[in-house]
Amino acid sequence: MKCQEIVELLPLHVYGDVTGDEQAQIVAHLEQCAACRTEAEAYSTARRQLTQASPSTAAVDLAAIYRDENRRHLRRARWWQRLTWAAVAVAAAVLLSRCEIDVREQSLSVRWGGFNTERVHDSVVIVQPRPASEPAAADQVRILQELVHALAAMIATQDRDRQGELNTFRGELARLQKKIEAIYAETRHDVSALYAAQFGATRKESIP
Amino acid sequence: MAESEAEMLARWRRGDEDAFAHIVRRWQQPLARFLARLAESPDQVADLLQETFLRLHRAGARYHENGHFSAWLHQIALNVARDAARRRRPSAPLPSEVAAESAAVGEIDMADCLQHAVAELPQELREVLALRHDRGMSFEEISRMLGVPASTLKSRFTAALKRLRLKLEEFDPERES
Repeated sequence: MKCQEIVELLPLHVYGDVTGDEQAQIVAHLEQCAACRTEAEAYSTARRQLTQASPSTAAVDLAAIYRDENRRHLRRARWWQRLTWAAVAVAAAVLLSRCEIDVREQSLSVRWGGFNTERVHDSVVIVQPRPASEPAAADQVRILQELVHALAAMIATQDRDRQGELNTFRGELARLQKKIEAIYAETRHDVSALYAAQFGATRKESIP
Repeated sequence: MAESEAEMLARWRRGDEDAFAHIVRRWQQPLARFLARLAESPDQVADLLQETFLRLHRAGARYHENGHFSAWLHQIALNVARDAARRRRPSAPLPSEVAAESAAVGEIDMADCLQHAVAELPQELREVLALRHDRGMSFEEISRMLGVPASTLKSRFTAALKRLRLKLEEFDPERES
């Protein structure tokens, strides 16, 4: 090997990282070459100084690590909490936008699916207290309605009769009133005639 | 009786914080020396060390005992140092500028000179220097760890030593006199 090749291998040689063959050639060369020996010594010095120049020491702050970890766990917990609430809100919004709630007299039905299009799912009855009695109840309602209608018709008929009687009474009253007026006019004429016969003059009107 | 490292690691993985504290005491100085080689300034070492053990604490559940805890821990430290190098502010003074300034006022000694010379090396040269010189790993082991061919690593190591040697000669007081 030439000096240039030897010098290239010297850093590895100082650390024992050359092959056995290279090691033998380098040792043989260094015995004869003072310049390369100087180079080799320089690398040995560099290695020694690297070892001696002990880098600074430092200590780990364990409490700071635990504080950081606690803060991190809290942040993660808050993040998951916010995510959970957001998911619940989205789920509620989706459910409400796709859900139809039907409250009837004796049942509560909840449907989901598109309302303007064909429904995705059949309706699901959540509450239906007395499904078997529904026909009987309808009959009862119908009978009750008929009864109410009959009562209303009876009341209307009675009203018409009462109205007729009332009109009759009014007519009788008007006739009697005319009769009284006629009697009053005859009596007044008779009284005037008697006054003139007795006193020879016409009596002044005093009756309103 | 001293507890073996494997038992200590097993206790730590079960959530025993005393075991973690023991691991910190066992490894903090070797890691500080390792990180000092990788850091761009001595001031960074404490922060890098703290960050390394913080990441270790978080990654504890992912560690599977295979007898390579040391390599795993140093890999974490290496990643921490790389991240710090990426975040390095462009306006921060270069180590050589700091060294030149210190030398001008007669404050620098050989150890400082070496520290600055190492800090001035490119990151990949610092890594192979720290792993080969300080950790004593073979190039084959480093190759497996970094995923870089051993021949490339040898070239980087040779380049690093050449640069350090030149820097040391520049700062050698006897040579100057």
